[in-house]
Amino acid sequence: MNNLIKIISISFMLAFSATAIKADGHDFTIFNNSGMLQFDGGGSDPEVLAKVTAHVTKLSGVTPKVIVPNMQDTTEQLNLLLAGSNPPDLFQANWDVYKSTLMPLNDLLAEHGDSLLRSIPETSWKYMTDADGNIMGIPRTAATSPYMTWVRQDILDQAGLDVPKTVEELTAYMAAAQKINPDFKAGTRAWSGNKWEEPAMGFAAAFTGAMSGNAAFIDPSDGRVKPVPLAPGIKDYLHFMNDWNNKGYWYPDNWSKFDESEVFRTCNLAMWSGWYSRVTIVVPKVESNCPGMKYVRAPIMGPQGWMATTRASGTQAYVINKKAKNPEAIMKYLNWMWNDKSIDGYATGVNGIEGEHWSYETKGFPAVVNTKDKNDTKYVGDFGLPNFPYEGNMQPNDSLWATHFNYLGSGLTKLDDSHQPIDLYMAWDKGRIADETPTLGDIHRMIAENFTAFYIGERSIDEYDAFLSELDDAGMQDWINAMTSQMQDSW
Amino acid sequence: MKSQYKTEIFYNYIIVGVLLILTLSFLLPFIVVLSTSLISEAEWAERGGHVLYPKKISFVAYDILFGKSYVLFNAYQVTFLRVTLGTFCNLLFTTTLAYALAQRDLPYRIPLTFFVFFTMVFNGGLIPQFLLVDFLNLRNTIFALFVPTLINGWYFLIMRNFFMNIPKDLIDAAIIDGASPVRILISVVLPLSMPVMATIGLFYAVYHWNEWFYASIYITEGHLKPMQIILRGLLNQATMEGMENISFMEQPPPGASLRAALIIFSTVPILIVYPFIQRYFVKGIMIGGVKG
Amino acid sequence: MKKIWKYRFYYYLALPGLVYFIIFHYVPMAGALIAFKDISPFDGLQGFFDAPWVGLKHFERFTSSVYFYDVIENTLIISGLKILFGFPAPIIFALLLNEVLRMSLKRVMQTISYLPHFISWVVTAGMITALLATSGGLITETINDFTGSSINFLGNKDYFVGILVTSHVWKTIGWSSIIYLAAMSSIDPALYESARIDGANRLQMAWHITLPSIMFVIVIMFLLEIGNLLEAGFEQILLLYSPSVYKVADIIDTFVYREGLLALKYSFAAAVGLFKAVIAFFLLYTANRLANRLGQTGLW
Repeated sequence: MNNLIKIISISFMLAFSATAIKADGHDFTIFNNSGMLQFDGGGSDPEVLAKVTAHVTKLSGVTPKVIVPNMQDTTEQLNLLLAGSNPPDLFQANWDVYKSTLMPLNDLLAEHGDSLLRSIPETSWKYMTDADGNIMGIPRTAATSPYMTWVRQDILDQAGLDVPKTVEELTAYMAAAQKINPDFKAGTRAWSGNKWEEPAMGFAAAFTGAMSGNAAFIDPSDGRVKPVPLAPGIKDYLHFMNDWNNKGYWYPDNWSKFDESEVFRTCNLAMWSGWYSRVTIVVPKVESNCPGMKYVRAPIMGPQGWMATTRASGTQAYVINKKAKNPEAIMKYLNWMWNDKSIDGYATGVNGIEGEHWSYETKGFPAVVNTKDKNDTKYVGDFGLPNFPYEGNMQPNDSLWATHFNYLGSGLTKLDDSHQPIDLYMAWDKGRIADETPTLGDIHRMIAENFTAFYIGERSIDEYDAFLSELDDAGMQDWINAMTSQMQDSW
Repeated sequence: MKSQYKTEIFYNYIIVGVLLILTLSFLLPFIVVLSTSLISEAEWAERGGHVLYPKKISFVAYDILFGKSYVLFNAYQVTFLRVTLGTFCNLLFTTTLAYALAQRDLPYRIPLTFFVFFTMVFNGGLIPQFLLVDFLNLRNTIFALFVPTLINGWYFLIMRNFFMNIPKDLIDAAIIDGASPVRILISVVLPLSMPVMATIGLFYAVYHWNEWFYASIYITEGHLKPMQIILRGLLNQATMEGMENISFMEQPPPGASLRAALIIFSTVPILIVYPFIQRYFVKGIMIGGVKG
Repeated sequence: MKKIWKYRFYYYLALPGLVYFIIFHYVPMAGALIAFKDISPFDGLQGFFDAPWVGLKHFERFTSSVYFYDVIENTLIISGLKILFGFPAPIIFALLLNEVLRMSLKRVMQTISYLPHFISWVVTAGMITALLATSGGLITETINDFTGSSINFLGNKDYFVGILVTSHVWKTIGWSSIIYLAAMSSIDPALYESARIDGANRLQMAWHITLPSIMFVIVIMFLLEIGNLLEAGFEQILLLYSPSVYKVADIIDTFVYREGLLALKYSFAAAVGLFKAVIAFFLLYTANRLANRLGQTGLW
């Protein structure tokens, strides 16, 4: 019996090792953590993938091999792969964080990246350049205004109101909404500790005229860069939040936990302030349950400026590993993918083989395409590398995407009704800030906890100054110094 | 006598009653998960992500899961291999070590056990383990999936304590008969230890069945990915807060239904196999196997 | 020396396992040293050697945090409560199940009992969030009908830990009872027979026969819990907590997690991990001495 087991296991092992290592004739590897493969981590059908690979090779002249990431812990996986013996050549990352593993792209762009240099604006390249003038990556995205306030058109109609434009009008809107139905609430998110401009923290911009991705504003009195909790007018913001809490306008679980899909489904969200795609993607999914429900964009102007804040494009980029053996091939591939005259490359990478998996409805630049469902084509887009706003040139001939797609062109990139942060054109070195502010984590928690307490009345706003001295004790001056020195360096 | 009989019956009812209430509390959420896996998108929009029963049974979620059948079949093979080969090796190495260190008179027994125990408290972390596996060229092989975690320290200790608890006279009888340690292990100790072997084997097997994190960092070749990776690729369990890559390609999150279907899909095979293992450790079935 | 030769076969048996521990545990253990360095993880093995030594910098960062005592206190309280309720529960459950006479019923109930173990924390947290949603949650609405007040459970510092402990016990009781059932199945039925003849009732039999017979398992499982005292349930808490309840819910691991989001802090996480390991070691050492003194086989 034991011998039998031994024989079986050995044969398993042999059989398995045979399949374990396959030699591939590829030029470079792509760790595709661009978001393209968000829910298709299973990968494409191997046969279809081979066909598409051959097709891509034919069209672009190079052969990439894609590593489909584990979408649970992509950063962890990426870091480990980079530490290992066969690190990926091309991936998406914040170039400033991964700088020690990257290759500068200036020469490569000059020789093989003509399309890229034409299609990506100068301002975007600024974010990619380090202090020595090295371009460290290809910009992944552009400045956008993804955090916005939406109200309900059907409620406006019922109440006989226009789209609110000021904070007062917004408050009046909520009052009217609750008169119609006391269950109508305003949904938003408590500060996650990550993105400052995201509502509800982002509302502070309307009352202080100060907000940025790094919580920074320049204090006119001493010219130093300080975090938003120190901005004049911050107490007005807190009073506003607390006032709405006392009137019962806020959705009660805003400050703890809730599932957005479930909340939108109840049809009781009279107002949503947050990431735009909840309205463009989640709402269409639940519309069938809420007849008449329709959201309309409502940019709000507060006493000190716009309530929404433009989100800088930051340092997210497609980067090339300095150990890459074939960087020219990589640049050729990217140049083909983001061609400034035709979307052939991009559409092929994302959808597959033209004619078989997708086709042109209207050729041109931009173009409209018909695509087949990924479950039918069995190609999930391994080679596709989305790049905003370039990808907006491939318009889907699909009504389901219409809302989302239209918003990308009209709402997301509309920057004139949001506050312009002081660091819009600056790339913060977050590692350096964290090093110079050892207690940054404490400060973040302190702000998160106390602001929530202020909103819900657990702590009186009269104690705000005491809170500020608590922040000082926790090391806030280090933070101010760190931010100030960095910003001054960048001037 | 009679009153004692009556109280016996009374206690029986109480015990069974309490157990039934508990069982219901375990079962209900699972039924909710099952029902949620069987509703359509439209019904979800209407009734939410947690339903006790589906108004209209829809296999949409399972279609999506099985729609990946071209990839899934291969992944199933990998998982099957991992569970069988992995559990077998786990048990082999754990049992031999546990049995050896269960011998009370073994010289240096305590230092050796401490040697093992120390690794349960102190470890180098994920990066050194990854670098080691990388260095040994085990990445993208089946071995990466069970060799780094070959012996679980706690299972080793549990097994060792079970072995130490076996009545000495039975073993002494075998020693007098002149049996070697391996013989004793196989013909005397193992048959007496079926409950713990079944239990620890179950623990290891279920671990291999469900484990995905190590698989995700050690396996990057598509055709070598076990089932859990493929399935989890279908649902990004990070909250929507995390999913904020600006991209036109941003897709709607998978429904609650798909997530529920994944759980059912992972659990049902275990439910099917379980009764075969259960008989080893639920009392009353193995009476008679004890006395040689 | 002669004794070693006599026991040589046992050493042969132990050798493969020991080699495994050396290669896969002791060799990488050197990696714990990153707690004393400033490393960048993706520079690989070379980077590990090149990175600068920073001594106790990361430990100091941890201990000098304003919230150091808070998170340790929370960790101990949450973990302690989970042990207080969650440790006896599977044992009692196993004892109760042991009393059921009808085999089919027993098997069915035992199978159903471990189902919660297979429902991931993500889905369980989703259910909890749905049940306790301030407006519309089944439990919240029911309580509202009776008392007229709408409680925000997940945002309430007084209820949050209770929710953590209850859901933890619910999720683990069935699966944890398996090992005790396994131990109970080895008990010689003759012991029960003679006790019954002597006139013992079921409670007495459970107390005097069953419990002592599985004591060796109880001890080792309890030591396991002690060893995990500083693990208070990271995944569960991360999914359910929010700034409203940081004060009671922020544990060591969530604290380290948030720090890690601000900047790549592998060294920091390693330092805290080492800190936890040292404490766990002392806890286990003490607990084991106690167990030995009580006549039980412990860890060694």
